[in-house]
Amino acid sequence: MNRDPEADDAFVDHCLREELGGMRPPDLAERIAGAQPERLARAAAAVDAAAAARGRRRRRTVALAAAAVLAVAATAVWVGKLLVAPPLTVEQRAQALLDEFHRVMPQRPAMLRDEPRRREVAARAVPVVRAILDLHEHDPGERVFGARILEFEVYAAVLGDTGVLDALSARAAAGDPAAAAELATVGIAIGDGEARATALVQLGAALRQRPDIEQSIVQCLDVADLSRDEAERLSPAVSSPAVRRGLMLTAELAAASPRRLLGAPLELFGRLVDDRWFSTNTLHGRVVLVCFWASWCKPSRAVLDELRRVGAGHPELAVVCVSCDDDPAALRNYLEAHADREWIHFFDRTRPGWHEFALSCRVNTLPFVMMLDRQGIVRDVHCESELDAAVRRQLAR
Amino acid sequence: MGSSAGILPSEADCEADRGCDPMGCDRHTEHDDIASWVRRHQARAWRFVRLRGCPADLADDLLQDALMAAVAKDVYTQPDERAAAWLCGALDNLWLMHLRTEGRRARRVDAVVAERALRQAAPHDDGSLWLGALRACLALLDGRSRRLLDMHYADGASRESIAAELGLRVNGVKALLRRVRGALRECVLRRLRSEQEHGE
Repeated sequence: MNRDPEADDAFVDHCLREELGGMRPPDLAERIAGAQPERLARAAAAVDAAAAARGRRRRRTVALAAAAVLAVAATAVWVGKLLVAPPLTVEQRAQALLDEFHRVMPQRPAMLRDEPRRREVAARAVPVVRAILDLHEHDPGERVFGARILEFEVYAAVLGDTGVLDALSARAAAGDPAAAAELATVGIAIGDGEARATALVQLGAALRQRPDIEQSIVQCLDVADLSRDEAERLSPAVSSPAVRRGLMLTAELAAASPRRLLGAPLELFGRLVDDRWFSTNTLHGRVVLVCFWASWCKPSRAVLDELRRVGAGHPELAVVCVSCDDDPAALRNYLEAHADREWIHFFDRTRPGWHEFALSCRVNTLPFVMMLDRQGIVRDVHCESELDAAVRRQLAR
Repeated sequence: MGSSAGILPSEADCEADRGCDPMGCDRHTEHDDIASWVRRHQARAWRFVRLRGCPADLADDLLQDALMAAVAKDVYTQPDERAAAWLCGALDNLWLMHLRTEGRRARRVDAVVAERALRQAAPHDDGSLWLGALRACLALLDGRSRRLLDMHYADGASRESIAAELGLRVNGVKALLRRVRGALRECVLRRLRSEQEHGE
């Protein structure tokens, strides 16, 4: 990255004021967290007023500028010249593409391990990644993507962009260890079993030759959903202790994620809302949507509405709702007003709060929806944001 | 910032982003989530508005308003990079409104330069790494350079009195300050590079 010395000097000047002038950033955490709603609303109003004032100023400036431009344009026309609007800078175009990339990619990259989901994401994401790679190729000096462009190459290849895959394969065959590392990362991300293990070994070998790219590669490994064991096997090939720690942390978090349930049979068990004990491995051969929710959680309530809509069109679906409510009365009121009688409702009134079954599934966030196939095997997790597509995928299997 | 390192949010970022928002709610209390979010963002945002020339005591007040507004508007549930950008924008607006109310036009550092300064000096943290390196470089300074910095930054002495004490011309004080700051910048960058190469 080309540094701007003026900006660095400004920061040195600031740090000297902070260090020698004894001025430190305040710790407002407790004050903000404990602020009354009225105080928050007053602050929000002050911020809105400041933004509005700035907007008015900008509009005035734009109006003045527009008047000036009109005057210049009129003059230009008068002398027979055309004014051409300046094109966007490379950095502006790159930033816009980066924003678009974040919009089209899933919030959890590990979701791309699932082939049908990968196909869905690829349809909207490949053109964006392709545009990013083209921009960088056309202007390698741009600073928005810089050396991290290889992360985009990996994502393009994971999403099945054959152009990128072919180019990487050619570079790897010519002895480029960076390309070999990228290809191996792709292999880990989309492969299973023996192929994944081989790709892991290849990645280790490539990283030993190119330690300068290990940080970017480890970032990309979020998509691979590495297990703790796999991270430990790769770890000796990573030279930087900080990057190694990042690799292990990612694996630790992945190990604690409900994604680990994928592909395994799941016994549904727990106390029901009417105090009966419930336990089963399958629900009469039906596809099961298990929704972890709470009546106090607004997004959860929206997912329940969505489940009702989706379920109405598919009688072969069974719905199990696992309530993590703290207040039995609030749950009862909500169920009386909204519950679907066909659904199975888990709630342990002797131990309100996070339900025992939610804890056993390592569910930490609500709402959370997982899908079990007719044999009771977990086939999809985190499908709360795309229930329609998830049901369609499962019923097509 | 939580998601500064990767081009997509990592599992760690997803963990950090947990809270009750349009995406979901978690089993930590909202109070804890807000406090932890404030701790992640407050120093960087404060440094941004200070870089823009805002005095320290006013910066504290503006930061408090911006953070409270962020909580009121649920900005704190957004990804860290977007929330950080929103905070800087809100602080900048508050600071500019204050300047206009006071009838002042002076700004120490342009907003673009301030943003760039933070992006360069603190790409993955709140500026503490840079500050630590600067502290180590300052410890190596002695004699006239150190005295100059102490008089200028700690005591707030005028150029005339600094010039009288150090035996310089008044214009020489400004030039020497610029040179010392330049040397400190190089020292900090060297230290950070070296720490990065040695893995910490």
